[in-house]
Amino acid sequence: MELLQVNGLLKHYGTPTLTESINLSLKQKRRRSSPPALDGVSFTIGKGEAFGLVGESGSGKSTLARLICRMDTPTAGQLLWNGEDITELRGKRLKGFRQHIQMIFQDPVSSLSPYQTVEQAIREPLRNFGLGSRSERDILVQELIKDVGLDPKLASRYPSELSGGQNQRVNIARALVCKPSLVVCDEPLSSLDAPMQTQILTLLARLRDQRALSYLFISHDLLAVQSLCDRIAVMYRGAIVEIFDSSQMSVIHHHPYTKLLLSSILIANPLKRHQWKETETEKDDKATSEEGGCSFYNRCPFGTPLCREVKPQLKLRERGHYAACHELDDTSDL
Amino acid sequence: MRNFNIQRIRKMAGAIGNPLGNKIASSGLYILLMVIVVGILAPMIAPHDPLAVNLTAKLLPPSLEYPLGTDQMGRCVFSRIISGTMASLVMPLTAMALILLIGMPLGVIAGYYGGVFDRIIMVVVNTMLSFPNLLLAIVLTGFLGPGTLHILLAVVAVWWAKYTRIVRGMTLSLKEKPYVKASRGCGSSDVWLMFRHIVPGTVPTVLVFSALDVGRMILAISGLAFLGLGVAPPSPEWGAMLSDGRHYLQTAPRLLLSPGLAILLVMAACNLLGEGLRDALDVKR
Repeated sequence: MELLQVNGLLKHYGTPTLTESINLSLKQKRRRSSPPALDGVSFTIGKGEAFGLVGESGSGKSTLARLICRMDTPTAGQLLWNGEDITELRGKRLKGFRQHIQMIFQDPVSSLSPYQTVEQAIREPLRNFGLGSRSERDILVQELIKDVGLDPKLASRYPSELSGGQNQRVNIARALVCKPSLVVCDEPLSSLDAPMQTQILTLLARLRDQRALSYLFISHDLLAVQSLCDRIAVMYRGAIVEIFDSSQMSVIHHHPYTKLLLSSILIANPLKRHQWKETETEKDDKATSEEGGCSFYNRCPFGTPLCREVKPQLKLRERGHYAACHELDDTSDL
Repeated sequence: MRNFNIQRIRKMAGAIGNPLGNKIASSGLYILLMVIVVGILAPMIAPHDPLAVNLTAKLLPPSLEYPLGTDQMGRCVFSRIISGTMASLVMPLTAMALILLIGMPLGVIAGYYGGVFDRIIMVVVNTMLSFPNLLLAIVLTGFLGPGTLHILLAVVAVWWAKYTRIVRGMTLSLKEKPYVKASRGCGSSDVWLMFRHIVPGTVPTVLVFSALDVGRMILAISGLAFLGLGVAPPSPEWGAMLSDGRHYLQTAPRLLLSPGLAILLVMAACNLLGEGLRDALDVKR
């Protein structure tokens, strides 16, 4: 049984009520409303698996994270937790369910209340879910503070008195204190400097082994994702364009967008650098996903008339590798 | 080493002279504390019974026995001023406490939940705010009749709306903060979010506004007393003393000056405290 199954998740922002009130045909409505933040995303996360999610800014990674944590409700689609539908949970049952999925945020400082000490922040989930007695909570909080590598002396400090890395450790402790099964990490490294990124990454890997956690790890750093995750999904404009095992990263034929991401990794040795650079392709800008073609068509160097007309579907290419690209259809035929 | 000691001494002296980290705010605080201490100790300090009438000694100029002279009934003005402190200061402070007790929760709830409740509250608030403060207070006290409790009610009824509005506006922006959302993700209830995470964020602003408003309230309450809508006559109150003294403007202007200066001192202290707090806490208008 998969821990979390995501089925065709769709999220539209903007004002659907406004467009509904005006008498428009469905097609007109679609054209007028902004493109969806998430356009039918499906994947699964197994027990104990670390699932990586990469993509550029605005590709819908954070929206997906918020929907999975039920901080936002999807326009359409389904979330299954151990086979149970959690898309429609509300009120007390939703509050109880939150215990199982916790989140680590991008900005460690602003996601901690400036009016709570480290200890109070970490204790808060225990209080909310009514876990343990007062003294048990004290012990649990103290243990966790040590476990995430914080100095116990910092327990009575406020977030403004700590560094970014220390604050991120507090965030991690807060996310883990109620013993969740899945931790959604929404770009937990991007506001930290390079050495601190490595430390937090190592910490996350260690905690995963110790506590049998599953991760949904969101980042735009492919190398960080590869080092932590079992499988990697690549998102572009609200849709997953490729899923592969992280061990396959250097051997398979990638989706052109993934190639672009790979080529943007900085490598010291010039001989090992990827040759493919994004060129400003001169194509009709209006031919976007709304017209039905491939959403990457405008930036893709292999773009064919087929790509412009027909949206490619996510297809199994080889063991563990899915990609949505017509170009790869051709290579697999060969 | 010697330098270090001097710096430490300076720092300690600074903490005593400047407890709020802002000289303006601290001076306001000290004046207010001084006035409150005098008010509390009034029965011990006052040279005479503030209510004792002595018609043989009326309208006396300042002397050693009567530091600020006597009024038209022969009562010691100095004793009346310091005995009036509690009435003139405690009432606005009580009113402020009541206003915060009513205004803040309403504002937080309206801003947090939004919807119909928010609209109803905001209609009431905007209606209240569209009247001039003092005028509405006069109408209300005129309606309820004079008396300490009625003045208090009138002031609260006039002022709460402002705080509901301020707090609601701040709640609207605070509830979108990442830490509020993160806390909700950790299973926090609405009540917990409102009072543990949102209310603390409104406190600095509310503190600044309430310090300034206590000053305005002192003036308003004295104004109402001046118009005869205040504390019952024999008990000393600065506004009422001002009103009584106005007939002797030409013969004994000190009867007006003494309570007037007392009001000015307390109001100035409140304003200093408010303005200083605004600078210290970096609150924008």
